[in-house]
Amino acid sequence: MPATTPLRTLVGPHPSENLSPDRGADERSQHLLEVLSQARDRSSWSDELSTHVDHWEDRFHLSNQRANVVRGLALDDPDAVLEIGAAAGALTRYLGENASVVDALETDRALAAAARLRCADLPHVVVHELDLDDVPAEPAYDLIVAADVPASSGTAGDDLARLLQTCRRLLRPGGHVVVAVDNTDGVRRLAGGRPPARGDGGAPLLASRDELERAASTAGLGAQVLGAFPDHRHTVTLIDHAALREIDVALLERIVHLPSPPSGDGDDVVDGAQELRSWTEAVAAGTDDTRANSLVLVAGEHPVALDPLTYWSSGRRADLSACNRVRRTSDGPVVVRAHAHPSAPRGDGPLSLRPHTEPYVVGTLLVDVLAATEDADEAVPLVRTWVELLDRSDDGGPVPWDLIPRNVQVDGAGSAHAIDQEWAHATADRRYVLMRGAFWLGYDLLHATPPPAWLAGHTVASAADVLLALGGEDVPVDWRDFLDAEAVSMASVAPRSAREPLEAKIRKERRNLSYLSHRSVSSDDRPATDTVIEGLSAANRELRARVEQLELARRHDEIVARDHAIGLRAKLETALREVGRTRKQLARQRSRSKQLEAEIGALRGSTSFRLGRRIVAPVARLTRRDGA
Amino acid sequence: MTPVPDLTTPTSVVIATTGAGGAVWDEDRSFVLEAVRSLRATSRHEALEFVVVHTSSTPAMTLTALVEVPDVDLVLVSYDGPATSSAPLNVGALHASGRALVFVDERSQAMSDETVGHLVGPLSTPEVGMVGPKLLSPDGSVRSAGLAVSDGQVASPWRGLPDSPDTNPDLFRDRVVDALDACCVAIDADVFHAVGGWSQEVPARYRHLDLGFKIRREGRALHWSAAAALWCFAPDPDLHQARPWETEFVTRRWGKDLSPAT
Repeated sequence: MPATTPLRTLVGPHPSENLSPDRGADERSQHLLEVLSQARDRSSWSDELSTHVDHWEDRFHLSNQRANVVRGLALDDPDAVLEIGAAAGALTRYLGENASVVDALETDRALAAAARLRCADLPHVVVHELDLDDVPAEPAYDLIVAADVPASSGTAGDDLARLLQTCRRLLRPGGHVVVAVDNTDGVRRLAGGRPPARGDGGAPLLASRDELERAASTAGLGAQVLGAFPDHRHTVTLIDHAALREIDVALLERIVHLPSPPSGDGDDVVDGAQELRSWTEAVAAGTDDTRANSLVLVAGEHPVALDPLTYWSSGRRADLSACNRVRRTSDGPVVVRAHAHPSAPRGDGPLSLRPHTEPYVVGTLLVDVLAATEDADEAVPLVRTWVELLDRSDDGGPVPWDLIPRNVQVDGAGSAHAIDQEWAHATADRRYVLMRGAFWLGYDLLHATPPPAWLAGHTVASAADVLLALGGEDVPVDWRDFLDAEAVSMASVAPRSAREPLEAKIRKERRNLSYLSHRSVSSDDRPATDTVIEGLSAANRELRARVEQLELARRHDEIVARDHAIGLRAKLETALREVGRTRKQLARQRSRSKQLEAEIGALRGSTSFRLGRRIVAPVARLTRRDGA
Repeated sequence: MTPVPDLTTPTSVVIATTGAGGAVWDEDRSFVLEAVRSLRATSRHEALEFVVVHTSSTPAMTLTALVEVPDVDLVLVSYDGPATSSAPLNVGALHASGRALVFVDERSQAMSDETVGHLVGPLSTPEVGMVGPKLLSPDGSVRSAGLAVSDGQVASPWRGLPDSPDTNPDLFRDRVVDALDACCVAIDADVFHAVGGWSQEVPARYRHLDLGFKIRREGRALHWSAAAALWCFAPDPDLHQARPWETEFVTRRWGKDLSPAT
């Protein structure tokens, strides 16, 4: 195990003081640093951090899905790793939990401080505020990861070729480079979406599959390219397109959940119907490998063994999150189901995850077959197929909690197979799972497009009654008890923030289920997707027009205010000029007054004035007296 | 030396209209329509936009006719705010995309070739803040060739004289003036916004003087262009008819001589 790397030797002992919130950080970085500094669990699977999301940037920096883009590759645990662009350390943390040495590069000071906080208890992880060009050109790493590549002023092809050439010099023999980027030709982008700004606010690099492959070739590396959905930041599905196409082309189409959720702060306008249409057309045309929303390049001298498909459950507690891999074996394709976060401590609740391997069944979901039936008679044998599966699994112990029709696949020969049996429930019995299956089958059928005519007018609960009867079951149903139990299970599966107690979550789930059970859905009151999208687009256009109007009004007010301010200053200047003129006049008057006083003094001091005063004035007085 | 017209700087001609019409030279016309048509017809400008600000009472026929004028990049803006003469022009400027703005009274008609280009040309000189054209009355005499402000009096020195190089050679030479007529002025968009546009608080008959003074206060000159010429059919703002409050307002803002320090 290398105790150090050439980079660490070059920069010397790493300063560890920069772990606290940075005074120079902006408001969002400051918030991030505070969340990280107060977190008790900073692991890569941390539910505490994943649920601490007030803003899309929080999700980008704190979600436990961030590492899926590397986690899904199932590479052997590397000895030494270099991460280019660590951001706030979400992926760095995962790499640190699985490698002996991690050098992470992050040039943004506040983000680097956040990444150090995230990995504070992993001494073998060092975050350097350096660029890739600063790393000594020696082969020192088994794995180099660049999952947040910035765009530069050059072309994407040139940027990637330069990046991969530099990485190649740093790779040990047998090492690999992983680069994840937004796809220039991705279906979300074609539908109007644009990638969010990077952690440091810069623009992310966009590249096509062809550009990735050519850049790897230019660097003298072999290339394997996977598609990622909804993107490489919060990967839920990772696809080796050609391999999956060989197994089941229908799965290739439906495994991608479209339309994609908003990326970034969602201020881009994505045409969801267009995105879905583009994907369907791409799969039909065999060009789906160029149309994924994000692309993940694995480049190296030797190829790595990649699974045709890896997908994750989302919206679950870390210990209940599953990572599912569709894999080829000599006995045919299988689904390998495992904990997404094996080290996450097990939590409370009636459910636990059941790691296992099951054969992959090519076929149609029982729900879809039932939705296409024309009358109840046609549905009876299908519903009973499910009930028989349930009976076969009832050996006196707990019955598989998830053995419900939406997890039954009908193969080409018409045989039904239980799939996706990932849950173990401590107390589930046949009656409970029967009710559960009927309830969710009722829900699925009423929400099918179109729903079967023979269920028209039913609520979910009454449809479930009908389905139980079709299955030959005479269960005296009190749906309230079932809904209570289901709410507890569902609430315990979801990750919870410290701000939301379990009881509140159960109450919320119970309310939702109660609403669902009373809901009646007919083809008439279900607007078509196009209508919904059209309505939303119109509302969006209206809002945008309103925003433009307000913006114009604001700018108009600015003009008026500026004129007013200039007018006030002009008035002040005019008044000051007037004051200046008045002061000058006053000074002139004072000067004239002094001059007159001086003249008066001089006059009084003259001989004629004195003579007049002593002789002329007395004589004049005497003359006036004599006259009188 | 003949000035070179600027035919490339993105320019927006802003006109506020009520949709009024009237007889000129014994022919009825829609004023705004003829103003737009003549300005476009006499110019080869490559990036010329017309922003016409109208009210809800402007006849739809006038707006339809405007849309149909060939080769006109037209932006119609509906404005029903305060009925001042400045506000619609400011609103028009906010909708304009040009780097240069040319404000034209709707009761105008371009006379010279490249009127717009000659108005915009001098704006490329940093010390020039606003440019005005030669304005001619319907009888062919000069209505305005730049205004002179002195001792509180605003004068139009060439008013009523024939537009002839023999008798009045100064009418054929560009020069710096104290103020420009409200009928038509060109101004850089950034400068316009920086000085707060057309004042909405100054009395209407003084607004052109006010805008000129604000620009001069920024240290920029008002330039009169001899090569740009328009007919102007609008009544002249008669400052002698100003009410006491109007004179007082302007005097408090700009002083008794209406002349800020420059």
